[in-house]
Amino acid sequence: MLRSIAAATLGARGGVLPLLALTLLASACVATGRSPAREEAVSASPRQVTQITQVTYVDAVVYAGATHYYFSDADGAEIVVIESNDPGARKIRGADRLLEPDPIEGPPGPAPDLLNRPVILHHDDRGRVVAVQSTPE
Amino acid sequence: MQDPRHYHFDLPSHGRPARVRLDEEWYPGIDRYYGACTSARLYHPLEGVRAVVIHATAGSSTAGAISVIRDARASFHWLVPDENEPQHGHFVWATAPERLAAWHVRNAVSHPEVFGGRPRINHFSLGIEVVNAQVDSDAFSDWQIEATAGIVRYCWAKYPNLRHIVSHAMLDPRRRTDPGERFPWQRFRDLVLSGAEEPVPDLVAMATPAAEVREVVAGGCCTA
Repeated sequence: MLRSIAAATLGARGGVLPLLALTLLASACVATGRSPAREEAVSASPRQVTQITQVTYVDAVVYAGATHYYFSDADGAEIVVIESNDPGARKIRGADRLLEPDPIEGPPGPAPDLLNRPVILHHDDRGRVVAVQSTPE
Repeated sequence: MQDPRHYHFDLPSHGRPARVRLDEEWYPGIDRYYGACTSARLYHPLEGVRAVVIHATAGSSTAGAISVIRDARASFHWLVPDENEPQHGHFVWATAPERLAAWHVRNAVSHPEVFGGRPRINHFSLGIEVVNAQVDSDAFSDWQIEATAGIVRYCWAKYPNLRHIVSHAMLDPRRRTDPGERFPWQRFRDLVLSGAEEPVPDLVAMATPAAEVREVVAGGCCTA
């Protein structure tokens, strides 16, 4: 299931349902009983976090209305997490740190010191990513 | 569906509009923010503009798109509202002065067919964002396409060396998809080139027909 979702998210980069990808991915993590390491969340609101997944940070693409964060799981499947800029949209704690801090005359890309580094995704009880925990090299 | 990585056309040397009125309004308060995410152009602000880049926001609201300017992450010159917003059908938002380079394309990006492959595209381009989520359920409205084409025609009339109309996806095909495969590029291109939506400029409409103009002769005297 996750692989197929990963394929969908890979397609999303080519234009297939990017906004649905996060929802589907979240559902997949729950439905497949994937067993991410259960740890106490270091980020705020630990009660909100029910699952933790370790992934590798691959890329970030900043659009005006949303930021798409790309990761790969242990099997190499691509995962996309989308943070909307629309008013009232849920923010992902720690996601800002994945972006380069001082982009030069353009939308920011991935933070160089976090690129290809392990990242922990914190999911809520609906499978949605609510926080990102990163460790610079 | 078309591949947005191939969205590109060059404006012809003929057919340049003489004058196009643009229905735009400054986004309220945006002047407090764009200074932190725009640059002085490296090229002449009028003669140095060679390209217009078409983007889609991957979001569903003007407010969401404006937030990247407010947060000094990126910027663009115009924003075309979505169909559920009150400005839709009336005017587009101006969000950064045309004389400044807005930060809508990353500096390292270039394309061999755009101004000889020069990088730092922001310095010789203008950026248009269209509010659209880039999902199947969010079609571009006819007015959004007409408004976007209207901005391009306004630019074509104003900037003497403007030539390239390109998608962001064409410039950065590995990382970008905007304006997306649902953007009707062919219709947009036709609107730009045909000028079907162009209103007759006021001064032209009020002008005296040529047949009625009296001939001016040397000496300042006129004949009917």
